[in-house]
This record gives sequence, C-alpha cells and structure tokens, in this order.
Amino acid sequence: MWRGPLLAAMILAICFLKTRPRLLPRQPSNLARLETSFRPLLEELPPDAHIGFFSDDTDPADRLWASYVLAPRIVDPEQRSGLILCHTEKPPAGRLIRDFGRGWVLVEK
Amino acid sequence: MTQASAALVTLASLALSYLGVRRLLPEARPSLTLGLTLAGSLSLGAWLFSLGLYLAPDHATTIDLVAEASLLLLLGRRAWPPLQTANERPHPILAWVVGAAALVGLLVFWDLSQRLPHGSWDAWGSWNLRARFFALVPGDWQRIFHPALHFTHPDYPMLLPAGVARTWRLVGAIPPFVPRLHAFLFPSALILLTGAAVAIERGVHSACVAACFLCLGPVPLDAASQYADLPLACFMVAAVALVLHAGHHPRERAHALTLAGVAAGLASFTKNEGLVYLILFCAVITFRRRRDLPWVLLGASPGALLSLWHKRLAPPDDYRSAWTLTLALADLAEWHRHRLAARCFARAWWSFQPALLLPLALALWWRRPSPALKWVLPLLAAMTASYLVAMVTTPHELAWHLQTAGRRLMLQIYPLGVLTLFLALPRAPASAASPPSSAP
Repeated sequence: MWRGPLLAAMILAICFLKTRPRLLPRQPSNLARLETSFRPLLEELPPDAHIGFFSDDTDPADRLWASYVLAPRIVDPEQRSGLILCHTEKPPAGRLIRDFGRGWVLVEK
Repeated sequence: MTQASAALVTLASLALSYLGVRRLLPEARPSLTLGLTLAGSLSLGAWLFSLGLYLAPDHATTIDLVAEASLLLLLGRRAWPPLQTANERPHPILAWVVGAAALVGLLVFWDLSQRLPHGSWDAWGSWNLRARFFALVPGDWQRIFHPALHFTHPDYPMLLPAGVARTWRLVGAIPPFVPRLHAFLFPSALILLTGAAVAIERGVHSACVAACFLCLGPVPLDAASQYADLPLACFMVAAVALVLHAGHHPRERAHALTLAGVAAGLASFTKNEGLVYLILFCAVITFRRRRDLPWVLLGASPGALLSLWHKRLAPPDDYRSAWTLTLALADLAEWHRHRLAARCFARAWWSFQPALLLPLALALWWRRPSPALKWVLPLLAAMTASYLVAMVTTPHELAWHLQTAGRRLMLQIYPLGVLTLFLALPRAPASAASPPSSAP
C-alpha cells in the first residue's frame, strides 16, 4: 500500500530537483513596468492613434514592447512627425510632452 | 474580479463543450471526453468569434454568444445517453505515479508562468498582441495588417488570439490571466487526448506511461511560453485519437470521423504548419482509410475555410514572400543543409526526453505493433519530412532559422511521436483481458 505513494514522492523529488535549475529567472518586468508607466498615455491617446518611435538601441525588443503595451495604437518607426515615443539618452528635437523615466520620453515634432 | 469573470466565461464554454461531446460521442472513454471538452471549449468560441470578425466585426461577440446559446438549446432538449464509467482501471502504483507526474507538470507550469506572466517573446510579440487588437478594436481589427506591425506575423491563423480576445471581450478587460489559462488548458487537453489515444489501442497501463512522458517532458515547460505550438499539437493528436475511437465504436463512426476532420481543420486555423498537417492527414486517410475520407473532409471544412479566408486577407509573411522555387531547388541540392536540419531536429528530440529511447528499444525488440501504426507512423514521418524540407529551403539564414524554429517544430509533433511509439509497443497484458469497447 505504501509503495505507490513512496514511488510518487521519489518521482516528485527527482523531477523537481532536475527541472528547477533549468527554470528561468523571473522575466524582466519591463512589460509590467511599461504598462504602469504608459497608463496615462493609454488614457489620453485614442485607440486608433498612430505614434512614431525612435530608439538608439539596435535590439528591436523596445519597439515590440511599446507596440504590445500601447496596442491597439500603432507604433510606427517610419513616422517622423507628430507624437514620437523615444527610448534614448538623447531624444530628437521637439517639444517634450511627457517623461516616463528610464529613458522613455514622448516628444512632438 | 476580472479573474472570476474569466473563470466563469471559461466554465460556461466548458459546459457547452462537454454537452456537445457527450451528445456526439456517448461511448467515449472519460479521458477522451475530458480532453475533447477542454479543446472544444477553447476552440468553438474562438472559431465563432473569428467568423464574427470576418462577417460583422462590430458584432463578433454577439454572433458568438447567439450561436453558442442556440447550440446549448439544441443540445439540452434531447434525452441524455447513459454516462460511461471506467471499468478498466490502472494498477494503484501506476495511478500514484501518474498523479505525481501530473503534479510535477502542474508545478513546473505554475512556477514558470509566474516568471513569464505575459509569456515568451512570440506570445506578447505576436499572439497576445493581435489578441489585444481583436478585443479592443474588433471593428477595426484589420489594422494588424499595418506594415509597422509586420513583426506580429499578421498572416498567422487566428484561432489562438481570437480565443483569448473573445474571453477578454466577455470579461471587459485584458488581464494576462486569460492567455495563461488558455496556455494551461490546451496542454492539459493534449495530455488527456494522447493518453486516450494510447488507451484505445494499447490499454490503460500504456496510456498512463505515455501520459507520464508528456507530464515530465517539455510540455509543461513550453506551455508557460503561451505559444501556439502546443494547441497545434493538441489538434493533431485529437484528430488521430478520434479516428482510433471511430475504429472501435462503429455506432459513433460518423460523428468521430467528422470531429477528427474538425480537429485537423482547426489545426490549420491555429498555425501555418497546421495547414500542412491537414493536407497530410487527408492524404494518409485517402491512402490507408479511404472510406473515412468524406466524413473527415466534411469536418475539416469549417476550420480550413477560415484559414484560407485569412490567408487571402493578410499580406504574406517574410517566409512566403521571399520563397522561390528556383532557390528552394538549389537549397535542396545542398547536402549540408539537410545534415544541419536533421541534426537540429535530433538534438530537439534528445532534449525533450532521452528516456524515450527505452520504449523505442522495446518496440523494436517486440515488434507487435497496433494495426493503427500503419497510418499513424506514415503521418508522423510525412510531417517530419515536410518540416525538414521547410527548413532546408528556408529563404532566411538556415542556422538562425533552425535556432529559432527547429525545436518548436519538433515540439509540435512530439506528442504525436510519443503516441506513435506507444502504438508500436505490445498491448499491456493486464489490459488485454478487457474488451476495447468497455475500456475507460
């Protein structure tokens, strides 16, 4: 009667010890942080808005994160005028609308 | 509050799906009924919501609700067949082992999904991003075709994001809990359906071992990424399990084969690879079980039609637009590309579950396979070959494409591979005594 639970407990222990080190550290909370930071922007921008995007980071993750958080607004790196969301140390010339911190600013050109 | 609402919406879908499965397949064993209920609850609403998006985007939710309510009325009016009970039970030790394996799988999924609340890269970069468009601006959902959103792969089929968006619409918010719930339910259905398919042909003991392989393999780990690979695998296995069920229950043959077609059709509406599966599944049925084909085609048509409709609407992705026959033929002639792709696939299988070598060795030793192996093995082989050709002829850099997609392609057919392997093993002696139709 005890063999079943014992075998089950052994499998649980072995599998958990084997799997645990393979698990990733907690996802960088960039998405959650951006969702919080951009909340005022989400309330101000209409759902059909198009905004530009500028970043001096070659990693496309920034733009993808911004697109996800701001959806269904379209974040378009080809757009050079109007509202531009920037993730950079040196934002392009234009009127600063809002500073979200951590290098994220919204400017109007 | 939104979590409670999402749970309620999911429970309502589960109830409707359960009624449908019980009505259509009253003789199905409990694991098959439960697996189909889970998969059906997620896919019926998604299909109806997608149809609504195509026909009348502003009223997609209404179309979905009216259709589901009508189905509920239709199903609830007739007398109910008696409930099947399990009279072939696994050995108690095996039952404990399966329970432990399921608990390990659940804990691994839970732990990882806590660390990846929005899923992995493609989940928030494609599937859930598109779901946000469908949920927040259903009347203007075709904005996902904007060139700035080409990275979301807007031509990918809509079943998964539409299912998430449908629940978000009904809940009235977009909590990340919903895609996580879908990411849990689809693999659960996958494990149940694989177990059911093995149990139909090889008995409940083999089914328990097969379920352990899935619970302790890559399925719970990859489920937390919220990708569409496991939902696709779920439909692939569901189609096979239903054909096997049809073979053992002649009275339910038409219903089971039509549902097998529905599953294959929904595979094509889940991922592009699903369209390949649908074609190969129909081809294998044509060659090996020709008289089943009309039912399968009938069932496959709703999913396949929406899939093709979406392909017509959406701009082609970077693979399709860059692929040419001339380049593909040149790539096919390069032996080292085949070697690289085959090595990547083999490494993926090894990383999934090295212990699978043991049942493989047993299967090769005993050579007493199920008759179903005659058509399931060619199906698996054809899928593997098609993935190999797709990788070898990729217009992208081969090493990069293999690194990003090779493992996930194998993950899609991994449960089908486990099923095939257990079909190749002899039937467990304790289960052989029970007649197939009385099995759970």
